Amino acid sequence: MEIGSTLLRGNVCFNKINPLRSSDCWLPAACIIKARSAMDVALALLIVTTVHANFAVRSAGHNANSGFSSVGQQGVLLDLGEMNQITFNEDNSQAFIGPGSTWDEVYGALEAINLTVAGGRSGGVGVGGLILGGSLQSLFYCSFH
Amino acid sequence: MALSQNLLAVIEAYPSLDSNTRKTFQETITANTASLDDLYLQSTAAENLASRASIACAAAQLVFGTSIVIPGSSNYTAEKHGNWFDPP
Repeated sequence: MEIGSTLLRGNVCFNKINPLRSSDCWLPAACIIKARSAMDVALALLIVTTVHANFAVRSAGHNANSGFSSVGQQGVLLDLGEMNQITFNEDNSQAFIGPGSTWDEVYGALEAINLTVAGGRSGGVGVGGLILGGSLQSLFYCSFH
Repeated sequence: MALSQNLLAVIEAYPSLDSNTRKTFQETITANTASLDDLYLQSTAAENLASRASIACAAAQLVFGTSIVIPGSSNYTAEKHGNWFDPP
């Protein structure tokens, strides 16, 4: 298992995962912790809560509301983008989907085994954020029309 | 309990951690015990959120490692893109 990493502002990788989406919806964090496992998340949350720091969590960062999937220089961003595994059990009856996966990735993986899921309507939306926050879902839309 | 002890306790209690990862984390945190606990002490006296964020970043660096820093990277412009409120 690969452990997570920390990116400070100005790091050459910092801006690759923290591009300026608009002037206020992706605020520039003091640093980004790139979690690669649940263990990383547990340790990162322990650190930020122990020192009483502000933090935000981002799967894919689709939510454009300021502060929803980003935090400014007075906080730490926990980025889940590398927790994007999509695997299945032996008989494909269970899927294990990382919160950093995007819905287009999930639909593609499920389609390969003739399954689907009521996920996000937009492919680039992250799994974690949509499940926690709710949003527009393709199958729900179909039932409305 | 000090920050380092809390971190080690979480690692010890985590059920499905492979032995190599557990060992790596334990060695990293043990090697940085003094620094982590000093950061925790600093946080108790920190007067604002920016200070606390800096302390959290420093602690995260000790635990997770870091990459190299170049302020004002050109990637910032290259990676810039818009959304429905603020198209590029």
